[in-house]
Formats: sequence, structure tokens, C-alpha cells
Amino acid sequence: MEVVRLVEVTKVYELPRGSVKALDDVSMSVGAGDFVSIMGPSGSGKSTLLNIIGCLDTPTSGEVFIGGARVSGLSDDELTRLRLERMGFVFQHFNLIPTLTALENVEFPMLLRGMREREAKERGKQLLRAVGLDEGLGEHKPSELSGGEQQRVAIARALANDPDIILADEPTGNLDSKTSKSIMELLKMLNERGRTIIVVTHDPLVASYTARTLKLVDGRLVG
Amino acid sequence: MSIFFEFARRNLGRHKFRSVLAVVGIVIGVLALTALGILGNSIRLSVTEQLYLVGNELVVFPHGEPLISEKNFKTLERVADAIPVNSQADRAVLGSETGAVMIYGMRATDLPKLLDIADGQFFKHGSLNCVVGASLAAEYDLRVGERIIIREQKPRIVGILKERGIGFDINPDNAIIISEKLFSTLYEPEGYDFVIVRVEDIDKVEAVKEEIENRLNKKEEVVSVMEMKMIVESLKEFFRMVSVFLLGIGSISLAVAGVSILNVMMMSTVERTKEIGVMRAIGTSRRGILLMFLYESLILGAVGGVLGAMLGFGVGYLIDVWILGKASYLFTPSSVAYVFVGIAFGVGTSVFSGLYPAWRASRLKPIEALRFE
Repeated sequence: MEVVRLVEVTKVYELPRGSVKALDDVSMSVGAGDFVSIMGPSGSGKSTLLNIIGCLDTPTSGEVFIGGARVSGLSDDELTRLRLERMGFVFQHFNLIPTLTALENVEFPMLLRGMREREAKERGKQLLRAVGLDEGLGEHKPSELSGGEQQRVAIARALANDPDIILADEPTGNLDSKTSKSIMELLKMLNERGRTIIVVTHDPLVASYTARTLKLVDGRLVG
Repeated sequence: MSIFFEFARRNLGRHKFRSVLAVVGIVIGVLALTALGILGNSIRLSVTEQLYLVGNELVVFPHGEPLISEKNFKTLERVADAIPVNSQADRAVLGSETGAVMIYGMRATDLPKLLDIADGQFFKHGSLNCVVGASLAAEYDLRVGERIIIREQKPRIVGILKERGIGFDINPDNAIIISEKLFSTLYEPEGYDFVIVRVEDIDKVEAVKEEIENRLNKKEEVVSVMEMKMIVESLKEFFRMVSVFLLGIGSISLAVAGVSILNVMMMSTVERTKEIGVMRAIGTSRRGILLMFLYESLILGAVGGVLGAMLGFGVGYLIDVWILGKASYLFTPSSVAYVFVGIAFGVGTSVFSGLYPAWRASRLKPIEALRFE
């Protein structure tokens, strides 16, 4: 089953110095259970591509389908709902909410979706265990956790609403190589259990964990 | 409670000093508003309490001539219930002292219409006795049965009046009231100093006033008619202005507090741009972001408003005791109302100031907010 499908997607940024084509006629699809990496040098448009797949950005032309449904024309509220229910985001800088504890960070998307607090807490604890964090760390604020621990919490948060896709933008970009490996092992394990994962990276080591690599140069898919 | 309320609470705790300063601003504003509101109200209450005001009275004064003639009085009497009054300031021997005092000459039948007796009774028609006002009696320690001396006359005090307050017709509290007959014997007036006209129906005051003017001021103006109702109205208007003025001063400090809230909230939205981006990315709606920021300003306003109103009530108490000498006006509903007015304005100002920053934060594009460093 197809989870993501892009048809002739072009993204042009209008800048004062003129327009920049970040994506140029990109067509691709990602099936359920795929583990895909998108590689390319900086400025090649890979983050733009990930943002468009994640419904954070809209293409200038072309069509995006998530789970077979067309995304263009959806309102801000509908896109937000789509992200909440079907996407899990993992960022390079972890981006946990600093006022919330690790556990609360994981609970947050579930509460947004209307789950009861007790239930969310239970599932949050399960998820933290599943990403390999000790029970006790759940009560810590992000600032009290190491980078690797924060990224595990972020992955648990991404899994909170049982999403169709996990989108990771340079998930190991801020981690040392040992921790990077353990995070990639974790993502690989999640993929083996059936998660669809798309990773943007410029690190060949990260790409080596994935089953399929898309190369992006100057906004075009190559190879 | 909504999760966004919890967010708001914790976000305020991140910059405690800044939040406390913002609250202090609201506290000062609400304090000023509440205290000044209570002060204005207390002044109004204390002044109106001392005034004797009856809306359905007209006072007719002579115009151009020194007195109202008997003929003109008869005309007045045909229009409405007219009470002729003569007045004269004179020296009188009161107990063991001699003092300057106001002396009114009135008909015995008119006394119960305008005055109440505290001790003794009113004098009879044509009597050579007198009644004295409450303050005068207290000042000179006058008793019923004593005689006072005015020129060669020695009227006996048959009654002491109840205190009435400052009036625009007669001021009996510090006066001696004697009969028309005694007054004529003493001063031989050829008319009346003024005439009090009582109108049964307060809505007909205007009409009666017009009729008096039509009848008496036909050829030339011989009387001027003062309308008690108008005085009551203009007094009310005056105190309303005092209140508005005092509240205006209070509002200025509250407006300053509002600007500081606006400033704090704008700083927060800029500082937290990236965080807003993350929240939006993982599925927080615009409404959620808007609520979070509005709750922040609501909390600042509610805390500041309640504290400010309580302090304002305390300061209102001190001002009342200091300026008016008593705090009894503080616990009237119209004073206590300013506590709630203060809280409402504090919360309102704060939330209003938070509207724009909250709206701006909610409109941030997630993708751009995420890129913000």
C-alpha cells in the first residue's frame, strides 16, 4: 500500500534576489513499511521535500497524496489534524518542549487528539520503555537529559498517535557517532516492526541503515 | 482544565521576574482604579448625606425688588402649596452667651411641612415663642423652656428641631425659628424674603415653575425660581464627573500596565517562535496556540487584578479614614462594587493586551517558525 505519493512536485521560493527552485519536478512514492533515506548536499532541497511530505509546506505545483488522499486544498486546521494523526516528526535539534517533562512531551500529542490523561500517561510510559529509556527519566525535564536520551524521547513522541509515517530530519545530526548508531538501530527496529520511516540525511552511515536511498541534487531526484 | 492553561502557567514560571513585574503593573493599575473609585464614591456619599435635598421643591426669590410682595405671594399660593419665609441675621442672647444667628419667620402651620421636632413641640399660630435648630441647641446648650433674647423680645424655646442638614431653602440647624407675628414685631418686613413652593408630583415641577413665571413675570421679571430638582441633578452630574475623573486617573495607570503586558507577551512570542513551530508541526492547532497565550495574559490579569483590588480596598479604607474621618462608606454596595470593577478592568486590560501577541503567535507559519533560531 502506498503511504506517500508525490506527482511532479515543484517548489519555488520567491526571494528578493529572484526565485529559487528548491524542488524541480519531483515524483516519488513510499510504500507502507518502507525505510527510505533522502540524501543530498546542503541546499539540494531535501529538507523542503521532507516538509512537503510532512504537510508543513505546500508545493508551488504538483500534487501530494498521503494515504491516497490529496493534500492540496486542505485548510490549515485540516493539515494540522493530518500531521497530528498520521505523521511523527523527529528533528535534528530534538525540539522537545522545555516546560514539559519527558513523559509529558510524549503524552502531549495524545492529549491534543483527545485521549484521556490517564490513558495517555500509561501509553507514554510504554513508549518510553519501547525506545529504551528508564522509567525514572520520564519525570525529567529535557534540559536534564543527554542528547541521545532527548532524541529517544522525541522518537517516542513521534510514535504517540501511532502515525502512518515517521519523518526524521537529520536525526543524528547533533549526536556523537556511538549515540547516532544506537538511534539508527532504534529506527531500524521500529521499521522492522512495520513502521514507515523517511530520513533526511547527508551522512552515508545513516543512509546505510535504510532499505532505499533517494539522491537529490539541485532539487531533482537522481539515480 | 485545558492543557493549554497548564502550558500558560508553566510558561509564566519560566521568567518569574518578568511575570512578577507584569503582575505588579496590573496590581498598581487596579489598586489606583479601585482606591480612587472608592474615594469618589465615598465623597459623593458623605456630601449627599449632609445635604437636605428634596426634588419636589421650588424656591422663589424676589428679582429686582428686595422682597416678594403680599400680592405676589397670593398669586403663588393659587398655583401650589406656598410657604412664605422671612429671614434675618441678628445677634441673640443664647444662654449665657451672645452670638450671631439666623432667624427665620414662618407660619406655625408650615413648620410640620418642612421640619421635624426632636424635643418639645412647634409653636402655635401667633405665638411669641420659638423653636431652635439642633446644632444651635447643642452649641449653646439650650433646653426647652429657656428664654432667649432677640433685641427687646424674649421668646421661650418650646421645641428643639431634629438635625436636617445643609439645604437650599432654609438651614434650620443653626437657626432660630419664630412666628410670622413675632418676626413682624421685630423687623417689620413688607413682604417675604423667599417662598418655598412644594409640588405634590415631582414630574409636575417643571410645569409649576413655568406657571409661576408666566403669572408673575408677565410684564417684568419680579421673581426668580430656583428648582431644587435641578440642583439635585447638577450635584449628581458633578459627582459623576468627579468619579469619572478619578477613574480616568486610575485607568491611565492601568493602561500603562496593559502596555507592559503587551511588551512581555510580544517578547514571549518572539522568544518562543521555534517552540511554537514545533508545537504546530506535531499537531497543535492555531486555536491551541492562541489559547495558550491568552491564558498567559488571563493569569497575569487575574492574579494582578485580585491582588490589586484587595490592596485597593485597603488603600480606600486608609484614604476614607484620612480624608473623611470614617470608613462607614467603604462597606456600602456602591463602594464594594469598585473591587469587582477593578478586577474586571485588570483582567480585561491584560487579556486585551494579550490579544495581538496571541493572534500573531497563532498565525506563525509552522515551517518558518521551525527555521527560527
